[in-house]
Amino acid sequence: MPTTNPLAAGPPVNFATAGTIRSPQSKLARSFAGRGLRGRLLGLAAMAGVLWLVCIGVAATGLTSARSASDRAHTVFEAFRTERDAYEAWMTDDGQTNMYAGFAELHARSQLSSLESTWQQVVGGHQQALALLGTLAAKAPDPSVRQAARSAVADLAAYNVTTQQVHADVLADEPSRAIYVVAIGNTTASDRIQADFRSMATVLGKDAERLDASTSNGVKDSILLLVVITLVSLLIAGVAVSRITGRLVQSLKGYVALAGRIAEGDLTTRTNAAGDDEIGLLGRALDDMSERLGSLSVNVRDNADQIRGSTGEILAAVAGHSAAAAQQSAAIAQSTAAIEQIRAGAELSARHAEDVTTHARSAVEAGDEGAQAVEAIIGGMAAIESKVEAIARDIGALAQRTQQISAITQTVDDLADQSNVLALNAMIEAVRAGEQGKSFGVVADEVRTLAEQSKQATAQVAGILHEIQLATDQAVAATAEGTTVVREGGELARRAGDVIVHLANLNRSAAQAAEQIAASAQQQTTGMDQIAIAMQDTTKVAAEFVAGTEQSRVAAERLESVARGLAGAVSSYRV
Amino acid sequence: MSVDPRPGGHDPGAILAERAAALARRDRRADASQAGDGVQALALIVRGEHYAIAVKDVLETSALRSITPIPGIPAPWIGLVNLRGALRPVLDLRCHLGLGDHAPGTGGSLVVIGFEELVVALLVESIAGARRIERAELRSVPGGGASPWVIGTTADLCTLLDVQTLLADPAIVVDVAA
Repeated sequence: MPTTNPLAAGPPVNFATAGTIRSPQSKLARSFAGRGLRGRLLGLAAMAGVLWLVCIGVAATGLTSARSASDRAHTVFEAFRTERDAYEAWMTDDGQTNMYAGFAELHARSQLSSLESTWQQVVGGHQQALALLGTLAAKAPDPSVRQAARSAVADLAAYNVTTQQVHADVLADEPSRAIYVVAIGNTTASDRIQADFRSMATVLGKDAERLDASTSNGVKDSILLLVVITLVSLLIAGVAVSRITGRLVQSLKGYVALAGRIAEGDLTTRTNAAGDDEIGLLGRALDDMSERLGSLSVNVRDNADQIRGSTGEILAAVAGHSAAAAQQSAAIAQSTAAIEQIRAGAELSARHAEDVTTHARSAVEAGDEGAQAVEAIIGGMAAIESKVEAIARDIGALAQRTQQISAITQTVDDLADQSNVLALNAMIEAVRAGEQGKSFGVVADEVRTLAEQSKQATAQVAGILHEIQLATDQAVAATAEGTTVVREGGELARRAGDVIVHLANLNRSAAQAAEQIAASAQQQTTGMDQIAIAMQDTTKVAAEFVAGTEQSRVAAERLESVARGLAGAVSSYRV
Repeated sequence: MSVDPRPGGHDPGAILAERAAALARRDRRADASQAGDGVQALALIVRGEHYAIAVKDVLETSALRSITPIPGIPAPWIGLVNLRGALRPVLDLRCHLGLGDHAPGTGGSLVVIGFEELVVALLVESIAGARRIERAELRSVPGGGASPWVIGTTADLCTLLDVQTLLADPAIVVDVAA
């Protein structure tokens, strides 16, 4: 039955040939790197950002410099104020009173270490004050401040001398002299230092006010510059955006018109767009799309034609399948009839095999009986053989006796000979004796005659013995032959027994084979039944196949109408 | 010649009479042989032929014993034989009669004859028996070419030999000195 696929018989449809659309991604990527629309917008934004950053940088620099100058002035002023406050606190009356008590306490030996640390603090504070005043004297912008600082350094040096004196007195365990030095020498030095500090404070306060004013002016200038720059950049961006969007809108209008023509089925129009930006790419993509739609419609038309041809072939094949299915049904019916015949034959074979089994079994029994009979024959043959052997022995004994008789006869013959000679000699003696020997001669003659008769009798006995000898020889030969014949008979009987046993075995094998044949025939019958059932199933399947071919025909006709509709739909496109 | 005393009748007297008659006949015959001109002879058989010699010349007969050959002896003599302690030369009568040599081992009988001091054993095939030969029934050999020791032949072709002449034959004389 034909199983070829009618679709496979037609020309292969290659849908992949209609889908080789070039990817626009690579072009987009290239225009992004170049001067695309997006690139232009991004460049504009970047330019504005840079301007903004420059403005912020300028403003931040101005503000930061003003702030640092102000901070520096504040720091100097604060340091100066701290020093002045500390010194003024030291110069109070309470401090002087306390100093007496301190000196008295310092006198104690146990407080020597404490005195040393306090002295180190005094020396450190003096060095610190000297450094600060040095800085003011060198770097203060105001000349009056620098002057005041220099006088303060000189006054502080004088004050240091008295302080050194006090320390030496304390160490020399002279507190009263130390107190005196403090009370007398220190007062003038400290008054001068106080005056210096006041003048410096006045000048520094004026400087701080001036610095604050300059800082607020810098901040105002920076804000103004920022506003101006922002306005300029906004103007530039607006002009650029307006130009770009105008060109975009113009190109898009052309593309919309092209898309409308494509929708109407006109695939011949092209945009012929130029340029590397997204608009140009869009135009070229539209051209590409139109061209591909054209080739696609042509492909669809060709493939629809091929489908119609293939459906025709499918219909022809389906018709062939229907005919084949009808033939198959007929063949199945014939096969069913043949299987029924084979089944009947197999049953007949089974019955015959059973008959053969029965006959073979009876043959086996007969073979067993034959084997037993042959055993009996062999036993009888053995008995005959022993009997024949006994006869042979008897005949041998007879021959021996005959031999003895023959010897005795020979002896008698010899005696007769000797008697004859004796008789002759006696006769001779009788003759020589003359007249006196006459009677003796007669006796000698009688003796000689007797000897002659004895010789004849022994000759007769010898003849008879010879005949007996011959007869016994023949009997011995006959018994030997008989023994041989009996042995051969026994051997033949044994072989016959073997043959019968072999025959019985063959019959047994034949019986087993016949039983197997019967079983095989039974199995064959069962197998034939199964085949009959399978043939019925096959008939059902063939009917289903006929129905399937009908469905295939309907489907092929439907496919043909679909292909026809597809060709009509595509024919509306002008290429 | 043989006498077979078979029981012929039922009467014992008759049987005895018959036996007496037989014995009487023999006696008569012996009387006749003595009375007539004849010779009691011993019949010999040499190579199937019948010969006879006078019984008065015969000393004894004997079955053939083992013969000891004598080296260098002339043809008719074939050796020596010991008969009851006496050594006797053996003469092959068959050879001497020109009937061919004696075949050894074929058996035979010895007839011892004596003439004067010469005693010889004759080798013959067999001894047929004793018979009486009358002078009248002897006939001379035709042609006269016979040996001098042949006396004559009977009608039944039994040749009577003269033993004295036979032993005097120079063919058998052994001259030891020569």
